[in-house]
Amino acid sequence: MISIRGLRVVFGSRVILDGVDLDIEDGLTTVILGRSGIGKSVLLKAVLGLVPLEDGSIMIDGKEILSMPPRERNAARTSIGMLLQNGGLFDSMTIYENIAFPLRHHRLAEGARLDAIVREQASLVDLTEALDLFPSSLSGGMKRRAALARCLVQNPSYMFYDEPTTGLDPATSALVEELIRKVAVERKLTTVVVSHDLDLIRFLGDRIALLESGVIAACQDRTQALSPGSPIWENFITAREKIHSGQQL
Amino acid sequence: MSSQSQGTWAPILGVWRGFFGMIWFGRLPWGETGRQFVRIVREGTGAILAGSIVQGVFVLWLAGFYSNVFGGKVWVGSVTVLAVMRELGVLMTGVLFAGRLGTAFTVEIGSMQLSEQVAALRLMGIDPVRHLGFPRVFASLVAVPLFTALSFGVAIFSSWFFMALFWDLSWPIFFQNAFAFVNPALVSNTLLRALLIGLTVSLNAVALGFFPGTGAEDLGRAATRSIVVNLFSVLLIDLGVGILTSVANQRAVS
Repeated sequence: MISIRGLRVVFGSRVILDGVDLDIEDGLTTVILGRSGIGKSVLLKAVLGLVPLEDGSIMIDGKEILSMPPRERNAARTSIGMLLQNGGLFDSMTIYENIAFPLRHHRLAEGARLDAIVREQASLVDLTEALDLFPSSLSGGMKRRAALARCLVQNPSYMFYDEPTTGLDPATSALVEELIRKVAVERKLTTVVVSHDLDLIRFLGDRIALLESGVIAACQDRTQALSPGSPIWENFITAREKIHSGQQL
Repeated sequence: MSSQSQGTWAPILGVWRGFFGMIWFGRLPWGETGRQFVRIVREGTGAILAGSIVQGVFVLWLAGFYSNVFGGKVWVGSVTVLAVMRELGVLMTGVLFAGRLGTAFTVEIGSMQLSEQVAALRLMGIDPVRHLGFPRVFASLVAVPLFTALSFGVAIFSSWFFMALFWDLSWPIFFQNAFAFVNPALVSNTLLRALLIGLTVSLNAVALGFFPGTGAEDLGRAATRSIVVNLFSVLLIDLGVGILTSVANQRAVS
């Protein structure tokens, strides 16, 4: 379980997160909702140490990681895989080399064993045919699947997805959603997805958290969150209809 | 490491500190350093060769033309070698290295930062400065002295070649006194300057690459900053080591 308390992130004079409290429960898929630019991706990156924190505490499996020495903190964070918005694939390497990279770098596998792991991960994300291609020749959906395969070779316990379906057509989005669910079930992963895609929220979310004005405004089970009258329903899901009909949010 | 632009000096100081810290604590990334060295040699040799030929012609024009007019062809070789080894060879190599490879380091790492490749490294538990930055620095430390030596050879040869072509100066006359003023102090001085230029240019370029700002325009600015900072660094190192050596020589004589 990951417990986030009082997380505060400031960029210059702009407060992005202003005391976020959130519990990410084991075995469930938590979807973090919020409008564009509200700080959803920053929240994930803050947990992973990719952006500097102003204040707060992060407990992973009961251990406060911010007070750990840097090496132990980095080791604790490698239990979390993250699919970045752009995938973050190394464009000078083929998909095979990209997937093999963390194993080779950390000397976790080599030779036939490495080859077997890479091919197994590629098969899981249905990219066996694309192993010899470079990222530049892949579509957006394929790049995300390749990046997911690269995350999975490190056997994370938690998987974070940053807007995994943004910019994809509905069919490819559905394939990515299916893949996220399949990976979560097969690997028994605790999953966090940042998104504003309502279809994805309905399909994947066990728990749904709404990020607003730098804090988690509500965090509820799917059934509660998607019921008319709930804060998530009123402030996010029906926002489009309200704006089109000229109502104030 | 946030990719927000942090001005010129903060990232440079941070990476210099990290570099010396890593040397102190060991664990140097040799494999990636070797790959970067091969790449630097492959990408830099053409520019160094072309620049050195021009340099040879430039020295020939100054030394050869006037000695031909006023007599004293026998000293053309020594003037050429002295000019190239003492000043122009290392300076030209530093300028070409900063332009051809220093800027490439900045843009390469900067675009990796913007496309989240650097973030991906951190997520894998890999220190991006150690993995991307320091191999380029170590490879440059070896490559710049080698490029300087190559530049000497090519400039001196091209100088003789054009001298022979235009003023009919034979090989034995050119090389008769060519190395008369070359001594261990001159060679070690040049080597010191080459090492300092390799270290400074690559560290600055790498440091500025890690803070490319937030978009293409900022990355362009980082590249411009890289070439300007590095050209000034090359000139300052050349001047500084030159002055220090002269002062030391004068003290030794007196």
